[in-house]
Amino acid sequence: MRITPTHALPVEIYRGVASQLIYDVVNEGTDPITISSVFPRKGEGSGRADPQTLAPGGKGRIILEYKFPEALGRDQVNFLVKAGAEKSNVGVIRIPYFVQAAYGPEFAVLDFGTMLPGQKLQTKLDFDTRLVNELKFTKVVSKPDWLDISFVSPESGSSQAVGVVATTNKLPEFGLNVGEVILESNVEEDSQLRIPVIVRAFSKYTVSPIPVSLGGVPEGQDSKVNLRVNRVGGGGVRIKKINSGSSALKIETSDCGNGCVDLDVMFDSMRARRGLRAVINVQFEDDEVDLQIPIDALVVPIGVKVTDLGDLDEVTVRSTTTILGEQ
Amino acid sequence: MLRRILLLTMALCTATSYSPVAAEGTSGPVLKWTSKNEKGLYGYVVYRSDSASGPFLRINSRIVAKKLEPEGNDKSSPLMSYEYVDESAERGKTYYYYIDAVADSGRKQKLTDVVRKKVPQ
Repeated sequence: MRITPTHALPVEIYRGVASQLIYDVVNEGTDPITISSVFPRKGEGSGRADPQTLAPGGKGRIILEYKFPEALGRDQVNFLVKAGAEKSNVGVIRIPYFVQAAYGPEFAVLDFGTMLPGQKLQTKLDFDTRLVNELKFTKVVSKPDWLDISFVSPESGSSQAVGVVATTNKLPEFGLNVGEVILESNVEEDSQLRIPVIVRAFSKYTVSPIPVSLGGVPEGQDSKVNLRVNRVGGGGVRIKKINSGSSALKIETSDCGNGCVDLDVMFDSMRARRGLRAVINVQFEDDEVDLQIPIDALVVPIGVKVTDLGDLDEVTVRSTTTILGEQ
Repeated sequence: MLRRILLLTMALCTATSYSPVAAEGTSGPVLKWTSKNEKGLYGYVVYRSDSASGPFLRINSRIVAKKLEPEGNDKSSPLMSYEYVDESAERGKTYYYYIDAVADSGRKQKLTDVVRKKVPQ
């Protein structure tokens, strides 16, 4: 069975787009074959052969439907092609692909930073495209209920860019709130722009950074991170209890000035060989609202080379936030 | 036959210097550029406009793929040469071009300045 693509490889698609891919198939054997199933080894997709049965020397097509992942960049998906009941009659269609963005910046987030009760925040970020002469957002498809979306002229003045403005209309739940804004546009290749949105809503106490990722930690090694807790308006920080639910985390506190306490977090990878995914919960004497700080780490087995790919966060473009006042 | 060449010489993701060069044997304006330090690079995207201030539109439907480096050059980063023929250009018009480098991560970064080219009648 010989399978060849009818399209160029790698497949180049825009983010979130479902594609149909067609492959030619030839039965090079001496017996008829019946292609019983075609399916991807990962993700959402399906496949079928037309015709399903090929005589020796017979030609047909394999039609694949695949929803490529949202993640940008280069990757590969493999489709398994089973012919008959024999285990040996399994072919693989390897499809390298490249997911590209129709909009820039490619990695962007509407980041409100920290929000306190009574505050009304607004954050703005310009998006552009090189696929149409004039970019227009025609509809807000979805958004978190605690914010409103509007559009303004971009700082560049370019017809290919639009400023997206997000304004809070109420205080979201306390803690880390991560959501997504989906906008409909006039870009045919990828008509939906998806923008992550993040706000850290606090009561009397704030913490930074949040969330916390320790990255890859070689098995047997420790990792440390420092978190700073501040009391809004200053004064004594009255911590009642700190709990993470993980024996791999040891947390000590140290004073760092008026209304300030540092949490020195130590991670013992030997106590969490399968990795860490926990939430540090800080209770206070004078606030009913706890601080909940997500923390994660990937524990890498001994002998596995760790390659530092850099911090993805460094290439993420964040919006500019202003405090509009009380609400 | 129409012939124009733009020669763009640049290091990846840095500003470029270039000089237009005439050449034979092509069907439209040819963008030529060289690049090095291509680790983590997927390819290049070419943009064109009728005006220096834009709007610029992408003109290559497929990304110009990064070439494989010659074997035996593990330590040095060889200069790689590329060209893109703008077959949709019209005679007598003036166009403006620039090129983005596209990383394996999907992130684009401006590679060249805008260059102006008048296509002869």
